[in-house]
Amino acid sequence: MPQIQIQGTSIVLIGNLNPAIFHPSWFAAHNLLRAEETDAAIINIVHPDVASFKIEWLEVNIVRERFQISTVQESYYEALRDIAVGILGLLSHTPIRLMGINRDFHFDLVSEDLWNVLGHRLVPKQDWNPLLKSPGMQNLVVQGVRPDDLKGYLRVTVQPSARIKYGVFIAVNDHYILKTDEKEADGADKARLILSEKWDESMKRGFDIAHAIVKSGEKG
Amino acid sequence: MSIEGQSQVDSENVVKDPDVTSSHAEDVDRRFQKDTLLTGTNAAGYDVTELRKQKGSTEGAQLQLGELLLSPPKMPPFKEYFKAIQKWEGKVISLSGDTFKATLSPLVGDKIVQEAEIYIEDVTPDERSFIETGAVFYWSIGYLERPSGRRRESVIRFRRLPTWTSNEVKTKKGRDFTSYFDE
Repeated sequence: MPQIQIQGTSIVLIGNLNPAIFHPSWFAAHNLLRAEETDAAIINIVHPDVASFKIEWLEVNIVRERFQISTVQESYYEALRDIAVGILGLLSHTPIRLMGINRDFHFDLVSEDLWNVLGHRLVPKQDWNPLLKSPGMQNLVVQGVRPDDLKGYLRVTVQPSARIKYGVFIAVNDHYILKTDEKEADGADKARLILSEKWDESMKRGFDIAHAIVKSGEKG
Repeated sequence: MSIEGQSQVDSENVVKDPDVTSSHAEDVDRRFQKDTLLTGTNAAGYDVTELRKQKGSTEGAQLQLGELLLSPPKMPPFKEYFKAIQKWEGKVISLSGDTFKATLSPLVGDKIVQEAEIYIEDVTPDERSFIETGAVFYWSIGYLERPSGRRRESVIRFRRLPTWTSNEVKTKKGRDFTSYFDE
């Protein structure tokens, strides 16, 4: 029975950011993280062009165009969302164009057979066999339109897991286009609303997609 | 699938397209990537050969800081993973001595709301100031998977959100959410 061994969630914002402010102490000062947590932060770098640090459950990586926070601790998914909502509230005038709510899973498929069956199911080999000797799926990316009326797309990536022998890695990118015109100013507001209103839906969708993919392998 | 290319998988998860919001990391521990060097990729942004050619290895990405090219030190990977058995969103309804009562709504599974009495001692000391009527918290029970073995764990964390201003509430509450996305 395939099981999730490792899973993570991340929130990515694309826009114009000021990495220098994202020092762990800033998060503590604004009550986004506990002071004890930020005191123990491992700071990679905080610079006008990049901020990168990590606490027990959270990794923060920010460059001028990209903001990314992630966790692999399932108990902190909602806390992750709250941090993003908090930051977007504090920096409500920051131009944010795009947002991704991402779920990542490493499933253990237990046996080499099941692992290959899923690979063959997702990328049938009959057309590849004449072209390549022993073809194997390395990276499958499929994109679909959003199931709701928001702008964006859903993109699913499937790869062999680099963490688990006979494991599969599945990433679901729930991508939101917040503004298409540079003059639009409320990207941060939109992102905050989506995170507040659509989070559960997005998390469930990612989970359901990943499970459906893994289950499809059981059908052979 | 094939196991032979596992080392390639690391580099394939590098974000190359600045408009891609996927963290695209098969390894959720190594997502610190920057796209400035990853020029010349194909339109879909999955040109792994180009990436390797640029970096010369599959190890971490580099950053262009002005005229400097920086290879930030790699973050130590997470070695502990929490696997939840159940997660609830709780709301404090009353306090009494060394306990508080709360409603618990499951975040996964059947949405049957329960009531529970929780010892304040179970809350991390610096979270206790959040315990007041109406406060929202998240409670997870599960296993912490560590290199030294599995440990049963319970995590309570209170929501930390800046309060919406009355003006925000006035202008945003009740507004059709999808209207934000009208052309």
